[in-house]
Amino acid sequence: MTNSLDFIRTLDQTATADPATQVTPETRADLLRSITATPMPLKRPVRRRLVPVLAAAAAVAAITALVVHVPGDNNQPPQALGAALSFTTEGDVMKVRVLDPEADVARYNKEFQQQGLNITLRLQPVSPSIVGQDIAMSGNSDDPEQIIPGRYPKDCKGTPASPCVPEFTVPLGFRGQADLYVGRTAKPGEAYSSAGDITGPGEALEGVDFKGRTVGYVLGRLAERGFSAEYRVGAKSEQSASAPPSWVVQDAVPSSDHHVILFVETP
Amino acid sequence: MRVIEPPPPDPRLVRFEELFTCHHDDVLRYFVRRLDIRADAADLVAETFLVAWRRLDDVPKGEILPWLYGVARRVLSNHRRGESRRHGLADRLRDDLRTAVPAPEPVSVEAAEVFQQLSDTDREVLSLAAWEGLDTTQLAAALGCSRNAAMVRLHRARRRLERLLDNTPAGAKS
Repeated sequence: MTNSLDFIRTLDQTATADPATQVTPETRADLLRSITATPMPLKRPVRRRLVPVLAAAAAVAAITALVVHVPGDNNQPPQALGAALSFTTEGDVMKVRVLDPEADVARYNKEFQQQGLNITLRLQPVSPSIVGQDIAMSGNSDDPEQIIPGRYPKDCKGTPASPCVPEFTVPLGFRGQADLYVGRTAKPGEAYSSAGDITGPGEALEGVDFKGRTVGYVLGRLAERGFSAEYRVGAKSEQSASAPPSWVVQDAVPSSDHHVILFVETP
Repeated sequence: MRVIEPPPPDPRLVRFEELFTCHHDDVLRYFVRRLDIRADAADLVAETFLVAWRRLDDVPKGEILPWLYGVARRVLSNHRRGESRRHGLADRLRDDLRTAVPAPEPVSVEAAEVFQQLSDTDREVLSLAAWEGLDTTQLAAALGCSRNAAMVRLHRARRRLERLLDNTPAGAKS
């Protein structure tokens, strides 16, 4: 009898004309670069804590006496809106601080433009514990000096008593293009594009020691707080809408303000 | 004040770069084998790796390629339903795939017709085994089913193909 798999192999049009030979190394590098330049959910170290946005903005407004230039909208009294960003020159770098992470995106980009910078700030819906934090960065620059994300003030702890704001260190004369991503509060039901530690402040399992506990236990704690769950099962993280209550929760990730993803295994 | 050290390389970036470098060509071939127009593969390759990048935490630690084929399969079926997106980031790849290549050896029209008589699911399981060279464990990962189910599906698909071949004039088999 004909070997059916051999038969199918004769129909493989890449066998005699491999498309891989058509693709230049530059094209591969270009595609790799473009993909990794798109934002992805970043896991954050546990030390990242709640940033109450308004308290943070107020605290920084008080500290930014160093500000060299705070651009405002010339058509409106600056007091009406306040600056969304602050620009501070230190040596040969400029520190850009996001004073108001909830401000209209168009305002940031206008302020960057006024500084002669081809930088776009983009707000992404994130889980509560990383609202107001930098979450990703992308761009094109041949400049060896890159933009470095950080937080301000340097010794801030991200607690109400010691709030932080996102701060980007930009080389003076930066000529590249960059997109900076900062977390904003998600709308009800909106999927997070980035999430903090699920046991962090304001998160679905704040203060709950859940790793190694059963699905039943974790679901109970989630239900008390109004959260539903879906599952990723086993080493391949296969998607599943349900899991037996006796299974063990290995990890969990916030998905929206009422939904989480549980990584589970058989007991 | 030039004391700023560049941040250490992001381990996710390192992992994705390895995944991309190792498997780009296999994913590209996957699409080219299943599309009439080569250049159409560009958007689908980009979409597949975008999914892998966004879901890097879901990518298995061990065998990555069958998982990627699983993603590619869904991307292709979206494309066939007319739901694929055009990616600016695939522009260069699209151009490369339009460059002249040695024409593929023509396949027997009758053989292609026999293959087309199979159902989509039979064709896919047979193609993954014959073209991508997956074994049953890898098939299970790509098809999102158990190893047992993959074995049964492959077996049945082969039986159906062999029955078609047996009922076809000998010329189609050469």
